[in-house]
Amino acid sequence: MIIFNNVSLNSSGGSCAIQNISFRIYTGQFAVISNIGGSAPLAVFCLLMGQTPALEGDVIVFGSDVSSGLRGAKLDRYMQTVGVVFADATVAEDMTVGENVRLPFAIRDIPSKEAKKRCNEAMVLAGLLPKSRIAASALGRYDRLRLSICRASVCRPNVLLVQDAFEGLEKEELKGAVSYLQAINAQGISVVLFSNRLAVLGLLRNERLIVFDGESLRREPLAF
Amino acid sequence: MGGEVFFIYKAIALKSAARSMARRKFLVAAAFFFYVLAFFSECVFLAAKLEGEKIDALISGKPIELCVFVDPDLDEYAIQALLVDIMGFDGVMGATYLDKGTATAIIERRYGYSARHFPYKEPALLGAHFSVRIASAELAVAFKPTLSSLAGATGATLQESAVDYLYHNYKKIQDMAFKCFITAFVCSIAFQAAKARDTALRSRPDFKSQKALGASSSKILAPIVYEWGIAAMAGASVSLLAFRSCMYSLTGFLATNLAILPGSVLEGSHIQLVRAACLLCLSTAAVSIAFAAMLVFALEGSRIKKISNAFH
Repeated sequence: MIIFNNVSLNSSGGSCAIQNISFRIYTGQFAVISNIGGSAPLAVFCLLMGQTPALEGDVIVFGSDVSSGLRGAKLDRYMQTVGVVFADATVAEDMTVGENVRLPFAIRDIPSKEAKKRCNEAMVLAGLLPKSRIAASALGRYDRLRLSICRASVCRPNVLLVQDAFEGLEKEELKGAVSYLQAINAQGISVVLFSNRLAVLGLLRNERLIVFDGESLRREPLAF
Repeated sequence: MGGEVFFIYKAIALKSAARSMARRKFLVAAAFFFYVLAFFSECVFLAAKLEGEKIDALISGKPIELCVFVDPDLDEYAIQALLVDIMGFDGVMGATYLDKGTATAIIERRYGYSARHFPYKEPALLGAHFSVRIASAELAVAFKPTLSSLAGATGATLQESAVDYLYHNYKKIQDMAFKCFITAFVCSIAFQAAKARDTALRSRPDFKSQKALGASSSKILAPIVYEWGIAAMAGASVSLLAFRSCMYSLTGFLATNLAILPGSVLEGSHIQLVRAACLLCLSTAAVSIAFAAMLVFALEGSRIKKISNAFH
């Protein structure tokens, strides 16, 4: 469970990004954090990444207290429990799709036999198995996003943090990406999506929406 | 060893070495650098060892053994006179006349040197195995004319140039090798620093994504460090092979064309040097690897901190 308890954080410019925010995201939940035109999702994302200390309040992510920020080996261990998809859908360009998906297993020293099996399962779910030998740099935007999500979730993290990486996607591709995230969520992995994109929010109207609106916090699904 | 193999496997598995052309070029360049480094290290070592051997002999008064192939027309007394009067040895400890087969067998047994490197054109030449003591420091100065005299006695044509090259110019070789070594070392620092910076910049998205997957800094950098290590080891091995090939070719050429072969000084020193030279090359490679590792951690460690900040 992710717990934000009266958390405040200033942005890099010194202005207040979030102030006295409290909410909870339960295990296995799909949550969308949005603040159209505001910087609150980015602030929450930074806090959940574990490196940024909160100005005040408590941030607890699946038992790990990251309120004061983590460093070194603690941060590395924490990051192994959290999957991250960046806005630019970062992948290792000089590796193939298969190698990218196997990378988290190599980092965790998981035996290759088990890794191969789980990689294949994950790539089947992502629809990337036929492209496993293709270089990541040769992938299109949509495939790259799926690869990034697949790589972040293949080791079954406690929570998958997804930045808005949907820019430039067609409508069908957007639906596919959201469906893929929902399929991962159906496996019991909590998903937190940070997006201000109305098209995405429209596709997720049945999920839990956490929308920041100034200092207030609305938790109910919105009608788009 | 198992751990190294595992890390090398990982380095290969992660494919951070062979995927991009830039990395391949870097590997080739690094291997070439270590080749040059190891080559000149061995040159320096060889020259220093030759000088050291002579100095040791002068100081300690220990006998030096020479295996000299001489004209069969010279009798034992004539050869001893040459050694004592001309070469400056104060006493010939023992002299044994050998036929060519026995002499080459002795060299082969003592120095591990193949007899095929002594394809003498003159079948009548006999071998003589001497144990001699150096009389004075003047020997170092007298070495060339001494050998030249012997060469004159046996009618060798390339003796002069060979002796001149191998003995009287060894200090020049040493100076040249040392300068090259220093130049290569300084260039390598600049080269490695530039490459490390380029690598860090080029790999920035990779670093970022690997950090996001929870990889420790050492795990991210291990493949790079081991790439350099592999390059260093490969370079050192290639340099050893190349250097030994050159030396065998040179000594083979000299043996083919010279009538006099001061075994312990020329062949013996070289052969005895091989193990030490191997160790030297390996230690050079190890130092280079350690240096490369320190450099990577020094340069790219700070990069990683910046990359960490890029998360914000």
